[in-house]
Amino acid sequence: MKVQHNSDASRQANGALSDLDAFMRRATRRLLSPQGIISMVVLVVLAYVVLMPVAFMIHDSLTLSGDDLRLVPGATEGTFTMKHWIRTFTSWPRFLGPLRNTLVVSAGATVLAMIIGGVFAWLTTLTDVPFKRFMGFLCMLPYMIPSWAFSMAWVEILQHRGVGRPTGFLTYLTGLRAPEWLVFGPVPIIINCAIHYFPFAYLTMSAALSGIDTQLEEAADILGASRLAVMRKITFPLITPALLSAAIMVFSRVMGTFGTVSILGVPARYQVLATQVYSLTRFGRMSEASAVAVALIVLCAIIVYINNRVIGTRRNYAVIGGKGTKKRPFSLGKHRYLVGSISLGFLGVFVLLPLFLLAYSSLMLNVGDWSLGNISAHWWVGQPTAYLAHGEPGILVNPSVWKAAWNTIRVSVSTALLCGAFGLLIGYVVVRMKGSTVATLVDAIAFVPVVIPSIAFGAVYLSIFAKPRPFVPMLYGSFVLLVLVAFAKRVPYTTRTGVSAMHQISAELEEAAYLQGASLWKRITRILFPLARPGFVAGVFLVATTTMREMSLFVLLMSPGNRVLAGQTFVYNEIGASQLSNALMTFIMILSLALAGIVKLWEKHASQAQPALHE
Amino acid sequence: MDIQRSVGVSIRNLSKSYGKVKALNDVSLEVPPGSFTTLLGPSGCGKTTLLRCIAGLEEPESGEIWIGGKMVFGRKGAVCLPPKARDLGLVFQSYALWPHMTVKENIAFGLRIRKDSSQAVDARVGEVLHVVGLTGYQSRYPSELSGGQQQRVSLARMLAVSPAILLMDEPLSNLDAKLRNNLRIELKRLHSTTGLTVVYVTHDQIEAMSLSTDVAVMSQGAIQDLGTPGKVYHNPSSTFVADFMGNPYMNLVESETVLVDDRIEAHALGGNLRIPIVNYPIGPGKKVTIGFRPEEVSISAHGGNGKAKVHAVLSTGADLLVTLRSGDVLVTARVDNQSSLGMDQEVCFSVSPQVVNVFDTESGRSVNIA
Repeated sequence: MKVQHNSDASRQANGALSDLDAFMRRATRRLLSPQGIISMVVLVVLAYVVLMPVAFMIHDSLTLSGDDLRLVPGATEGTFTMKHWIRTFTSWPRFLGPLRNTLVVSAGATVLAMIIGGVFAWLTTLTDVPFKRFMGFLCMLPYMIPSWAFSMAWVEILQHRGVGRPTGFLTYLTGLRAPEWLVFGPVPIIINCAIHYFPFAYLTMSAALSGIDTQLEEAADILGASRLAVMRKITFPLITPALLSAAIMVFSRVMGTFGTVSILGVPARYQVLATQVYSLTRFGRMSEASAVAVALIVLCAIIVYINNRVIGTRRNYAVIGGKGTKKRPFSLGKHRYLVGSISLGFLGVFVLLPLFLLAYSSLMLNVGDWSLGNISAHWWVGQPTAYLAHGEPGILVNPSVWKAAWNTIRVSVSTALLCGAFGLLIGYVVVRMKGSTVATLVDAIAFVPVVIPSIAFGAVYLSIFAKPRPFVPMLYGSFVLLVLVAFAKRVPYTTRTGVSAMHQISAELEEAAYLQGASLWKRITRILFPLARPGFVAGVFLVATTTMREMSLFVLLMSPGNRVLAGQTFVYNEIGASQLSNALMTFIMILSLALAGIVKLWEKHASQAQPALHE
Repeated sequence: MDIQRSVGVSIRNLSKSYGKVKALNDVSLEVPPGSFTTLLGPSGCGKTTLLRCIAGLEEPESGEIWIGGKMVFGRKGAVCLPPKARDLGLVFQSYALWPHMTVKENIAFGLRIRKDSSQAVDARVGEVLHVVGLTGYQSRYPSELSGGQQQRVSLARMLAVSPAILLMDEPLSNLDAKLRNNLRIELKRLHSTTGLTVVYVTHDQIEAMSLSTDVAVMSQGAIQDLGTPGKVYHNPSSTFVADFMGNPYMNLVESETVLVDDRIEAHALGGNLRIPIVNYPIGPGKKVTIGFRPEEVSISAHGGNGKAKVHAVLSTGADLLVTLRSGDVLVTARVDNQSSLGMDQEVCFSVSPQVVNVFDTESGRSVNIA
């Protein structure tokens, strides 16, 4: 009996041990399984490039650095302090004023961009307005070129001696002098940001308008609703989520915009948080710059949060519809051509004309002389001349421009490929491991860069990679740093394309290969990647085109060694060589449009070659 | 729920084409008041186009549509009333519930459009929700409902405004089999308690059989057969309809008429199947197609009027589907579960002559109709 009891107990002990043992084995197996390794790698990389920098920056803004020691007697480096926060957040010129300006400019530009985008989306999708295709192209054009190209053109057109500048096109042509508030300050900033960002609003709203399931409108029609009532009660509420998310996108982008404000605001001493981060950094006040950057991130996060609350999960519906017949276009009647001409005229004046004049001004030898006799290729191919622009040579014969061009291409391509590949991995983790903690975490962290405005991201990276820290190499001034920050900022783009690509690939396709003994590497390279290639390429192009014209993100991280083209225009601007800056901007525009054209051709090719792939 | 006013729909010589495709080719159809008329046919046959023309969502090119004695389309298109003036409701295949409105708001929409008082709206919403069995779901959003519940709301939304005609476009095809069966039962009850005129589009012939009082079988933009479900099932007007109705399909066997002792017989399967033909206006020496349902075939060891080998035996649970082979022709029989038949076994079978359908092989039309 006793023996019996003993053996029971030992069996129990054995059982308990093997339970724990089994748990450990199961955990190890899961962790070391191919999926486990992939998800861990993804998680660690995301944490390293996104979470760690933000954490370090918050830490920096709350501790004393070596430079601050003299401010607090007896303190040691690294002591916790609220000083930076208090000093920054209570200061009108350093923070509160720029904060107000940021909100004014962002709200104004968002409203204006939504109106312009909304009107053109309505015209091109729901009416019988003529010249639709050309209108659609002009509505996308501003987004294909750098945001501050319009600001440079704006200055070229409206400046005059009255504001301490050379003669602009308007004054040269008519003798009129634009009032100063129209040349520099919040009004032109709002207008120019709206011109650059309305394509977002246009794209989102036209997609939403043409994607509505027509049955939803027919149902209301049958129940007796008038055309106006259908618009007001069905169509408009249906596109509201798309509208709000477009507005949020525009708002957060404008908030992080640096170039436009530095050209149109700074001359009038109009500062926003983005320019404030830049100048505080340039003056070496890193802790305060960090505090402002943290504030920008928090502001952006709050707005995204409010947006999500307003839309809410209950109303989070996709408007992309099922079947439904083609909609009859709303007839503009005999005003068709009038409306079409006015719309094209608007786009011509606000989109085409500025870019044309910008290009033209790069051919003017002497600033302010718009006559044809002044045309010269000096700024493009001229040899250095002591009395012109401090002896800088024309951009096409300047080795540092070519170096910057090469840097731009290297950064864009490396970032795009990295982001594309990583996006697929994220897609794999999020889609295939849906519901697991890892997948949820990855999904959430990959979204974080969206709420970090570009300039703040730059500041974050500057503050952590410019001084030695544990696990962090010194990267300031290196090519790798630009790729790293662009990678971190663009990850959300390819996460979207990667997730949707993975959604389209049935798990069974991979499982079939798994059953036949294919390793994870084989499954990825032979099954998943070939099937996901269209999504991968789309993501790569998206990242490459947007990185090529990036400035806000890089401006704090560039040194002569790793300068990109966008940064070079900024350098020209700072030394007052506006003609060179204009020439280089024209060069970037041509490059950007060429790249956009290549993307378009590829999409056309892909849509012809791919239809059989996904059911 | 209140008994609805019953009105009929009359469609006269309706035509409509999309480019070169004739979606509707001179279609005429009478939908009797209070009937449950089903437009049945394969996809692309024009049934949905016809329904949308009745609803006023599509405009036909020619012909007339009358609803309850009122012309809603006609005079070469000079008269074309908008949907709201046609006094009808339409239940869509994909429900088309407005995702930004709650169940109550969806249902109340039509009532509010016609400016009912808010008490009247509340009362009516409660009433129709009770009818579709969704009391208590008022404040849900469509995304929080199952497919079956969404379709009930979609139905309630149209019932709320008490239309004279209820149109339904494959309303059950997005639901799973069990749910579909439950909703069929409810639709049937709804129709008989309200007396509402229903025009119903489906490609599912079992659904058509089980729900309808009248079935119109459509193909290539024209009505191929019209009648009660029983008529269309047992005496289809053409080989197309015969082939489309029923599962398993009607057996269609090529044969030739022969004069045997003053009587006409159809000989098929190289003389292995001989069926006397009575009461059909047809002479000897004609090529005809014989049609008979699997349940009209019986299998025996001896006797009968045909000989064949057992090709395959499939059990449906309730009974057996036996495929018989004679030469290269297959004939399906539905027999009870007790039979023990082995593969390739030689058997005799008989077809009871009263229910044989005779079609002209060339035109495919039923001989007694021609």
